[in-house]
Amino acid sequence: MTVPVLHDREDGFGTLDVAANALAVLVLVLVVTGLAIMEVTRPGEVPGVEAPNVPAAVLELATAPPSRDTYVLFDDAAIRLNLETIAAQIVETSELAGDFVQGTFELRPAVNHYVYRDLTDASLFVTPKPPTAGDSDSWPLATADDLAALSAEIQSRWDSGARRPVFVVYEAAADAFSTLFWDADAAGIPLLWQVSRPNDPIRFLLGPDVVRQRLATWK
Amino acid sequence: MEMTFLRRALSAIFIVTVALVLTIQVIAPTRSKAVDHDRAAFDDAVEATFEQVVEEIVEGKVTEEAKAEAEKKDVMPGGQTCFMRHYRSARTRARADINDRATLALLTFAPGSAEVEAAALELVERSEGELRWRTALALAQARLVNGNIAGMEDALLIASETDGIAPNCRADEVFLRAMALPGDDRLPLLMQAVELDPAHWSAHGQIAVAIASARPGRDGKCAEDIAQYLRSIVYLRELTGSATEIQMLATFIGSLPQGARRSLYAGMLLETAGDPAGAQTAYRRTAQELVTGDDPCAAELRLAATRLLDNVGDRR
Repeated sequence: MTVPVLHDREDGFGTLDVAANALAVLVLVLVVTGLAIMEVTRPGEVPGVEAPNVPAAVLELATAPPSRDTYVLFDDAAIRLNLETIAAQIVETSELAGDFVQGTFELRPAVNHYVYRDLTDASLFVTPKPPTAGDSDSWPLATADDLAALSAEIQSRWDSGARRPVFVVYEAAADAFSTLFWDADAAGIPLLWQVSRPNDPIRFLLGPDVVRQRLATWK
Repeated sequence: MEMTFLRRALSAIFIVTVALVLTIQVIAPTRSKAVDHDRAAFDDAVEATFEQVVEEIVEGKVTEEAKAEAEKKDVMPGGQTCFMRHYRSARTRARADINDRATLALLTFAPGSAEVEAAALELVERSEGELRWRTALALAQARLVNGNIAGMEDALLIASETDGIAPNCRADEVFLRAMALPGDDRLPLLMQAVELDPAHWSAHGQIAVAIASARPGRDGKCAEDIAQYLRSIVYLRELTGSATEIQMLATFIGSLPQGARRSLYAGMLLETAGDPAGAQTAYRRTAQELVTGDDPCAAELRLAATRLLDNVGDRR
């Protein structure tokens, strides 16, 4: 049996081998880097909601601490997302995705350690569903009185905790949101809001994205 | 013939790659020396008298220091912890189990959850180094959000007793401690934070807010405070880069109380924005507002406004 010995076959092949090996290493590095970049730029995940938890201190410069109060407005009802429920469930079951009383959730810590910056980097996807009557953290939006009740709730939360409310608005709730918006405006409560479509997950972000540009996409 | 050409081309690529790697290795130490030098200049500046600080700002020295910080390749100034602000130098690729990282993320997504807090405490107990430090810091932050100041101090104590952490990370501990205090009381800790990490954008921002809103100000600290005010404004304008940071800066300037301090700030920003006429107007307004106002640090502010007005357009 003969063993092929490439570098003996012709003068100068040794040089070629070194160069080729170096190229192979380069190609490998480029491929790995490319994969790493793909990890951070997963396309098509809208809408982005800037984390309601960007550490309070960062945003406290001028306004109230960012909100933990995220309201989702359906056509005839509103809910306030209860992220604490999700958190408790994840800790209890060690399952990062699942159903909860307000819909479904999925927590995705950034897993590629060549990409994430902070150990907290993660996205939380919540797909809310319309509430059934009697759910906690939910309000009907059918009548003017209903809207006034929700406005009063927002006002009282604002007065006690100074948290800036965030609204995720579906098209059917545009009129209701208009009323809530002007009520809050008259009361001097700053809102953040984003239009979305039913069944699109709401994405809460922690990570460099938030610091770089996310906040600027909000109205 | 073709083989020779291919061989030459491959060899050329190989040589260029080697040359690049070597160049980078030669440049890197030079860069860090330059940074050490800037650091020394910064330390000296702390000792300088108020007039010297103003001169250094007028001459653009502070701007250069701040630029050197901003241009470090891994700096993301608005990042809340050093892991994000200096993601290459502050962190040694800390790895953690996905469930531990979920716990860390949940501490900030849902700071009010008792279950998450318990999980975090357990994680602190069984981890060490960067993971332990980061968990303790996130716990402190969650407790601060919930208004549990004593609990925050406990968590920060754990963080500060954790070894193997980059020195500029300690700025985050000091910063959190500062944020638990009201207004003026924050200043000494905030100044300590920017000394530990000059690229701490949020600390510079908080310093500017605290000093611009200070009424009547700290007794006998005018020179120190106004000097730090000027330095922090320079750092803020040099470090601000992303859309988010610019937006936060704009919002916070809008919220500052009217008066000489705000006008001075506006002048320095307008100058950076390439509006010398606007800057001159703002500096003149500063002087006018000092005449009508009752600012305890009027002498220092007047000196700064006058020198800056004299030199509009000379810098950068």
